[in-house]
Amino acid sequence: MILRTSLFEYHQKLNAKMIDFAGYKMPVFYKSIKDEYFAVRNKCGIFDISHMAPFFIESDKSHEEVLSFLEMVTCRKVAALKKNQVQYNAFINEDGGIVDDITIFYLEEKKYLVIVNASNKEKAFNFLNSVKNKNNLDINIYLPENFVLLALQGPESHKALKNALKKENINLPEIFYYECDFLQIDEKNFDAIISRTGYTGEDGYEILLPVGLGQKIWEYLINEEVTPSGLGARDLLRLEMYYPLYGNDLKEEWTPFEGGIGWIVDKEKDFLGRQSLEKRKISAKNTVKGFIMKNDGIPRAGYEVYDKNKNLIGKVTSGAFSFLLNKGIGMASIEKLFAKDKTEIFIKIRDEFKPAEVYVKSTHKGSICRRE
Amino acid sequence: MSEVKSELKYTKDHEWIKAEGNTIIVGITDYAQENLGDIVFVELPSREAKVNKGNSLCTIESVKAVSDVYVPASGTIIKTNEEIETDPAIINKEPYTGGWLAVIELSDSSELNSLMSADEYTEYLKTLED
Repeated sequence: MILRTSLFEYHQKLNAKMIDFAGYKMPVFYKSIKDEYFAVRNKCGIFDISHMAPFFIESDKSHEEVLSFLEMVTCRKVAALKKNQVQYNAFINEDGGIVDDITIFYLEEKKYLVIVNASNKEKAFNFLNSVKNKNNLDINIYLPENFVLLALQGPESHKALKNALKKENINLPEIFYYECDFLQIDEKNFDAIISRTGYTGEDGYEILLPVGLGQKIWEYLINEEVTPSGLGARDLLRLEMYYPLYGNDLKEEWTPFEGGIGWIVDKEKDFLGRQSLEKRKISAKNTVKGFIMKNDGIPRAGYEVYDKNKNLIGKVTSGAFSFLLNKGIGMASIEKLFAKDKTEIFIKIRDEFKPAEVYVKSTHKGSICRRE
Repeated sequence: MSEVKSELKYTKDHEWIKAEGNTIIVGITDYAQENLGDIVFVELPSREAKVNKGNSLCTIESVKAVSDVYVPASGTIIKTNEEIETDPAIINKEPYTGGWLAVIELSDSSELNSLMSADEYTEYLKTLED
């Protein structure tokens, strides 16, 4: 069965082109991927991301209980988080494989929120519950029954959201990049959460709301000329930042090292996959890195990657045409030897070997708003 | 609803064909450009190249995907639209005029007989709708 988010009718009203994505009918674009892309880079765009799953994880007993559980299932140190902070992290299984890449919110004592990818919802839920049951932990893992999850992205997000919330007499809390807070709303039995996070490299917010309020805020923002934006623009925006997409650039068969997110693996903390991970760290042949085409050619997922002597060294995991650079860009799983900045590689595009350069970091300085 | 021009011929792969004597002009239809989305790159065939019906004529890359345009009738490429190499978005804006792709001199004009008329193509598009 194909699911719909609570904003499905709103997308239809805007004549969105819908596709099946992770079991949901989602807008891939409304009018044009290019226009939506530029709206986010230069002004403001709004994405319906209600296909993603907000897992509340809490304990009635003690903060220690929920924290130690989270440390067990992830590879980055959750204890490093202060209250009201958000962290990029990953669930790692006993084999050292990536179950999902996630964001963790430290909401309050004994209570965290984890945002899980749509495609991994069930898998992650089962993984967490099996660890919980095996260790006899007294914690609750639950999703709100109905909700709207919005991502407002772009340099003008702050202003647009403040105005939209004002119409409902809601204050926008003062938070900065990778911080979070509760939103004070009338519905007392719903945890409305806001964070200054995103998947585009620009300033912006992600907001968890009850359905009615979420729909209203969506309408306010659209009427304020915030551009409704789909998965197409989202994919390009994240790729220009070399943010990995699970399913393309990250997989359960890979460790974080092979997925190119080895930087999140804590050097000291103990967790389920620690031992396997240490072993596989040494034996791993490939890792994922970003790259930019030197001249023409647009890389696509699945294209082969070669060295200058035409030895096969990997495969493209994501690819697109970057409007920022006016060039083809991508991410590829390549042999570690080639995973250094500015290394020359070749992408095989329709039987031609087109030169590209490895980029370890994105060159785009977005509008991200950090705490001073 | 996508635009269909009555004076043109069509293929099931959404190419349009304008016959002028022994040559044809080839492009992609409004339906095709709409479904491709923003076009960012076109790899045109080389001039003078001999091409056979059903082979790839050129490659169009949109923001979303890469797709092939097929040769609707065999012959020799005598002209390509260089303007779309520098500004491929013309195909989105004017698929039937400024966005033409190539001119082919036919080797066997009877191959045109199998193409669809505008009415047939319109009917065909209806079958593709969800």
